[in-house]
Formats: sequence, C-alpha cells, structure tokens
Amino acid sequence: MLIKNIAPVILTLCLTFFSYSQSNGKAYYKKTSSHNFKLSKESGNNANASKLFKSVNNSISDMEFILTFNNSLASYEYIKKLDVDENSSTAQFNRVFSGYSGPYYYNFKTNNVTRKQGAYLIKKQLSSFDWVLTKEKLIINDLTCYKATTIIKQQGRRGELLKPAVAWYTVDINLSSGPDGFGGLPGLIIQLEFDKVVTTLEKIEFLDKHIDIKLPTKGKKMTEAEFDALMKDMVENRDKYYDKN
Amino acid sequence: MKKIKKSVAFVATLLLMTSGLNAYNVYSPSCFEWADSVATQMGFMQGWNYQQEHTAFLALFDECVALQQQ
Repeated sequence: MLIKNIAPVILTLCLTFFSYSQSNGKAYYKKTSSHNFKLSKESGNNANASKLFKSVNNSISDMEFILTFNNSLASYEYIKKLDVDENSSTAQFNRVFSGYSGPYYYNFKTNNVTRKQGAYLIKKQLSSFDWVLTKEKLIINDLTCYKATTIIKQQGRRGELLKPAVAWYTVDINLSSGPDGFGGLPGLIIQLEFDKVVTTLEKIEFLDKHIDIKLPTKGKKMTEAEFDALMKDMVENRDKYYDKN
Repeated sequence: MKKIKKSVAFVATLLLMTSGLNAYNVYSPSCFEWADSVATQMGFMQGWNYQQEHTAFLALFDECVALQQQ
C-alpha cells in the first residue's frame, strides 16, 4: 500500500531530475557541403579565385559549432581555430557558405532567435519557420529522429529564392533549437539539410550544473526584412560605397 | 579628399557588415570591377542570396589585391 502511494512521488522526482539534467548542456555539430562553384568564362582565368571556390567544401568540413543551452536560453557559435585567420574575407566567405551567419541566441521564453551580424542584432520568431511535421523516421547517432520540412525565403539577384530545408529532430531531447538559428520543433534538431550543406550533431553532453548564457545587448536591432534590404542595397549599389576614380 | 572620404566610408560599411576586415586595400579599382563582375554573375547563376554574394565579392576582392601585391 505504502509502495503504491510512494511510487508516483518517486517517478515524479525521477522525471524532475531527468528533466533538470537535460536542461543544461553542450551540443557539438559538424558540417559537410556539396557546393560546386565554377567561374564563368567571362570572369577570366584567376588562379586565386579558383582556389577560393575549390577549398570551400574542405574548409566547411573542418568547422565545428557548439550549441550551449540551459532551461530558458541557448547560444550557437562557431568554434574558432587557432590556425585560421577568422577575420579574413576567405574565412567569412567559408562561414557564410556553411550556412552560419551568427552567433545565434535562442530565448525559449519569448520563442525567438537573434543572430548577431557585425553591428546588427536580427531577431526572428521560431514559429515563423512554419515546419511541416512528418512521420518519417531515421536513426542518427542512436537517436530516433523525425523529419520536418520547410521552405526558407531569401532575397538575391534572381529575386525571391525559395530554398527547401529538411530537419531531423528528436523528441528525446526537449530542446527547441538546433544549428544555424533553426529551431521551433518539438525537440532538438540532430541533422539539418539546407542549401547544399548537411549539419549533424556529433556529440551532446548534459551537465548537472546551471550554465550561464548572456544574450547580446549591444547592436542595432532590426528585422530579417530590414537586414535583407540593407544587404540588397550593398550588393546592387556597390559603386555607392566605392570611388573608382 | 573626397576619394579618401568615400574609401573610408566603404571600409567602415564593410567593417559594420562583416566585423573585422583589417588592412583593406581601398585603391584597387581594377580589383573592384573584376570582383564585382564575378560576384554578380555567380550570384545570379548559382542562386546566391545577397549575403552570400556580398561575402563572395569581399573574398574575391581580397584575393585579387593579394595577387596584385605579389
């Protein structure tokens, strides 16, 4: 009789402990890419440009990213390497083509993600991903993952670009985030397929102590649309920013 | 003076966008034109978004300047 009464209490305590132990930790991601850049005939023969485009896939494979999380916040950052000049335009080129334009900061209480891009803070609601959940399953790193799909809208020379994204998430890890600012699913994204890049969870470690995460406060706040408009102006009106004479 | 002012504005904007371009060579019109042309063509052909094209332009520009300085 006593055991019957105590059992739910023990179960609740166990679940609370498990839930707490899952709420702080670090997840590590790596990427593979299949970009295939070919210089057009009109661009002339430039060995250095060819080298830049040829090395992008290898450079992306060498990158590592860390998602640090607690019960209300998470941050996703590129792990800097000592042998890479991180400020060089080549390193920035490789990072952008890997799908990383961060760091990214998730706030699960307000359900949004903010990315810090130079002097700007660009906020996005996690619900705006508008995922389509499917029953398709895949085992990745011993975790049962479910497939979710969405279309990411971007702006470029061709006008509006509609790029499909596939996320494999697990409900076993109750964390509504993932790599490169993606999130808003019923569990952690274990693998993301987007824009010729596959990002996969390498390892995850849960900690039994609280991890302090600070959201960025310095920077000009803007929406994704405002940032896109700024980028469009910089790209389509480069002459405005440079005196050739 | 006007040239310097515009060049400084160019670098400042790039710094704002990309956080950390050092020793930028602002006096390379030929590199600007070449990088602009390649990035524009590839941006269209490859279906790049504006941010991808922007970083490609910067990387191509730097590669060109580095080649000129050799």
